[in-house]
Amino acid sequence: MFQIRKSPHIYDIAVIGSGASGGMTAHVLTSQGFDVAMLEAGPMRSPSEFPTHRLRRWNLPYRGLRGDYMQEWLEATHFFADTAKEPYASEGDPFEWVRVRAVGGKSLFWAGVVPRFSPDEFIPKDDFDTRWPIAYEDVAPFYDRVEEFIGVTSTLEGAGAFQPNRGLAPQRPNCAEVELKRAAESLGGRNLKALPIPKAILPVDHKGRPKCHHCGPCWQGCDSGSKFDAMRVLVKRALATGKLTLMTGARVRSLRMDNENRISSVYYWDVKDRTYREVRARYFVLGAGCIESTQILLNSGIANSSGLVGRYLSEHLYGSVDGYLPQLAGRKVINEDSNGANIFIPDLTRNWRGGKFIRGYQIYPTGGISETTMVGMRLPGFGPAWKEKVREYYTAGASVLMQGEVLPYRENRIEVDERLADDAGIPGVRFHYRWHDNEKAMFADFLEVSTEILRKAGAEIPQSATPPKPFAHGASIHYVGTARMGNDPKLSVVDKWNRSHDIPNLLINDASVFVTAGNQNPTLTILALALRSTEKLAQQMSKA
Amino acid sequence: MSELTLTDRRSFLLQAAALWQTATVLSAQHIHSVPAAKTIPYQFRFLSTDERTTLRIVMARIAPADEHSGGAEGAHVDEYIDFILSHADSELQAIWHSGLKRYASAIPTKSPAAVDAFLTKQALKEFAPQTEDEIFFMLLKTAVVEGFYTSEEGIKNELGYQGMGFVLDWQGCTHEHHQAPADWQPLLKTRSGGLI
Repeated sequence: MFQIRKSPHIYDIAVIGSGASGGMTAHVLTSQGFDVAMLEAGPMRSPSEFPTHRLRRWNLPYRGLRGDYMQEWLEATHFFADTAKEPYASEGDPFEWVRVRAVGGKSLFWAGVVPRFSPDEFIPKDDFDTRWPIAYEDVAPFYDRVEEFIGVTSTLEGAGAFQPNRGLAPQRPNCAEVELKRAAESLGGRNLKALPIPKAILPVDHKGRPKCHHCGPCWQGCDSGSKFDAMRVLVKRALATGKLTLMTGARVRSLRMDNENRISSVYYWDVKDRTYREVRARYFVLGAGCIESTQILLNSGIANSSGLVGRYLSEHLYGSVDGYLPQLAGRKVINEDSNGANIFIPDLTRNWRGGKFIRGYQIYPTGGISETTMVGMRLPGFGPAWKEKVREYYTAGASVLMQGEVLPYRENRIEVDERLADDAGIPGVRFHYRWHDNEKAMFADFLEVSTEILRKAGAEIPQSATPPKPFAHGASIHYVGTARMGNDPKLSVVDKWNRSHDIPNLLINDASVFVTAGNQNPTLTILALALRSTEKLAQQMSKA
Repeated sequence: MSELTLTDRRSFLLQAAALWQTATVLSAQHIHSVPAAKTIPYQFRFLSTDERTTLRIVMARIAPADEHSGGAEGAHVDEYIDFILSHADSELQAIWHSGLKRYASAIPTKSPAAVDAFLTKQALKEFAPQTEDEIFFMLLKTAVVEGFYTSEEGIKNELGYQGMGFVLDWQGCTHEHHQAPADWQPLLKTRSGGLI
C-alpha cells in the first residue's frame, strides 16, 4: 500500500521520543560520542510559538471555562495530538490522555514540580503487590546529579520519609500559602509540615539559563527557558555535539526484529510526506512516554513474554477543596503569580493510616490573586454592591489540592485496537482503568484533612451542591507502570537497568517502567532513571 | 408567566444547566485555531436585534459600568453569550429566546429603576429558583459572570489583575499578619440541585 523507504545508515542507537526520558538518553549518549538518531512525532517548535505572553484568556473562544483550560490553549496553538486523526478510547469513565506533538514533549508544558521519591515509594511498608528492584539509595546519586544539572529550587529540609534535595534556593510562599501553612502545621495529631516546593524552575541564573521572571503560566511553555524542558536543556545540547540526527514528524508504528531476537529497525510514519520509513540501529531506546512507548511495544508484539506489557497502568488521584480566607479579602491587588504554587506538604503518613488505606498523598495548599474568579455566581444579587463583593472575595481565594498514589492493579491497562487506527493505520489505544476502595478511602481522608486545614485557617468554605469528586481519570498526566521493572522476567518487562528481559538491544527509559506511582510527581525520577540506565548502556556498548 | 410543577421545574433546571455546559464543550472540540485579533467587529449569529437590546439592558444592570470598568457592556458580554448560544442545542436556544422575550415585556419602560426592580424580584430566589423567569435569571447571571470576568475589561480593569508581568525578584508574602475587613460577613451561597 505504501512504499517503505529504508535508510542505509546504521546508527549506534535509535531513541524514540524527545521528552524528559528521550532527551536525557540522547544527551548522555551523544556526549559520549555515540551516533544517535532521535524520532519525534511532532515538529521542532520555537518558544516564540508558546501561547505565553502572546495570547490571553480573552483571546480563547471559550475563555478556558469549558473542558480544560490548558487543553483549550494548547489545542488553539496545535501542540496536542489531534484526536480526530489519532483517536483513542476508554472503557468506563473517560481517561484523559495528553499527547504533546513537539520536540520536548510534555516537558514543554509541565508545572516543573520535582520531588524525589522517598525510600517508602521504592520499598513500600505494606504487602500489597510488589516492590521496585532498586532502593532509594540506588537512585539518590542520580537525583543529586540531575538536580545539579537542570537546576531546581530547594526543599530546604526533609520531612518524615521525604528526603531533602540539592536545590539552589527555595520558592517563597504568597499570603494565602503562609496562612494555610500556619494552619496545617498547627493541626493537632496530623503532623503536617509544609515545605517549599522543589521545582525545575531556576531561582538564580544557572548553566547559561536565566532565572525565573515569575510571569505565571509555566504550563503554557516557558519563553525564557528558566523552567527545565527537554527541548532546550537536553535535545539542543545533544544537537550541538553534531552526533544527533533529529527526525521530526516521525510517528513510530513498531520495532522490527531480525532473525536473532534483536531489534533491527524502527518502522515509522513520516507525517511530512505520508510515507512509511525505516531507521536502522544497533540499540533502541523507548522514551515516547509511558502510554505511547507501550503502544509501540504492543503494536510490535515484542518484549512481552511476561504478558505484562500494558498492565499495571497507574497515575495520580487528584482532588481539591476551595475556600476563601476573610483575612485576605478586599486587600490591594498585587502580582501573586509567582510560578504557580510555592509550598507543598509531603506525605507524612509513613503508612500510619493503614487502617483506612495504604500508601499516601501529598498536599498543595495554595491560593492567591489569580487571573479571574467565578465567585460572583455564589454571591447573591447584582449591581454595584454585588460587584464590590466580587472584588473583595477575589483576593481571598485559597485551595487545597491533593496528589495521591493510585495502587498498581493488574486489570488497569491499555490495549491496542485496530478499530482505533490513526490516519497512518497505526492501531490506537484503549484504556481500561478504574479506582478501587483504597483510592476512595484516600480521597475521603483528603476531604477531611483539607477541610480541617481550611477551617483552621478561618476559611469560608462554600458548600458544593454535589459531593466533591476526584478529578477525571488521567487528569494528573502522570501515566506510569505499563512496562514495569523487576528482577523476575515472569513478573516484569525490564530489569533494574531498564533493559528488556526478552530483547538484548532494547531499553525502556520512561515512566512505563515505574513499579509504583508513588505520591510524588514522576519527572525527576524519570530523568534520574534514564541517566542511570543510559550510562550503563553506554558502558556496555563501549565494552562491546 | 407560568408556574411550573415541581417535577417540571427540576427537569427544566437540570436541562437548561446541562445544555449551557454541553453547548460549549461540544463546540470547543471544533475550535482548533485562535480567532483573529479584535479588529473585525463581531457578527451576531443568534440573538435578534430586539433580543440584543433586552440583553444589553439587563446585563448592564447586573454588572454596571462604574469607576472600575465599563461593566458587562464595556466587556461586550452580549457577544460572548451570542457566541456560546450560536453553538448551543436548540432547546437551550429556545429557553433564551423565550426568556428574553418575557423579560422584554416585563420591563417595557426600560428605565434603570424599573429594570432593577424587576431583577431584584427575580434574584430573591436565585439559589433555588421557582419560576421560569427566576430560572432564566440564574442562567443570565451565570452567563454574565462568565463573559465579564474572563474578558479583558473584567480581568484587567474590573479585577485589576496584575499578573503575567515581569517580576525581577519574587519576595512572596512580606506581611506580619493579615486582617479581615472590619464588617466582614460570610455571604457565599450554593445553588440547589447541582446546577451551574
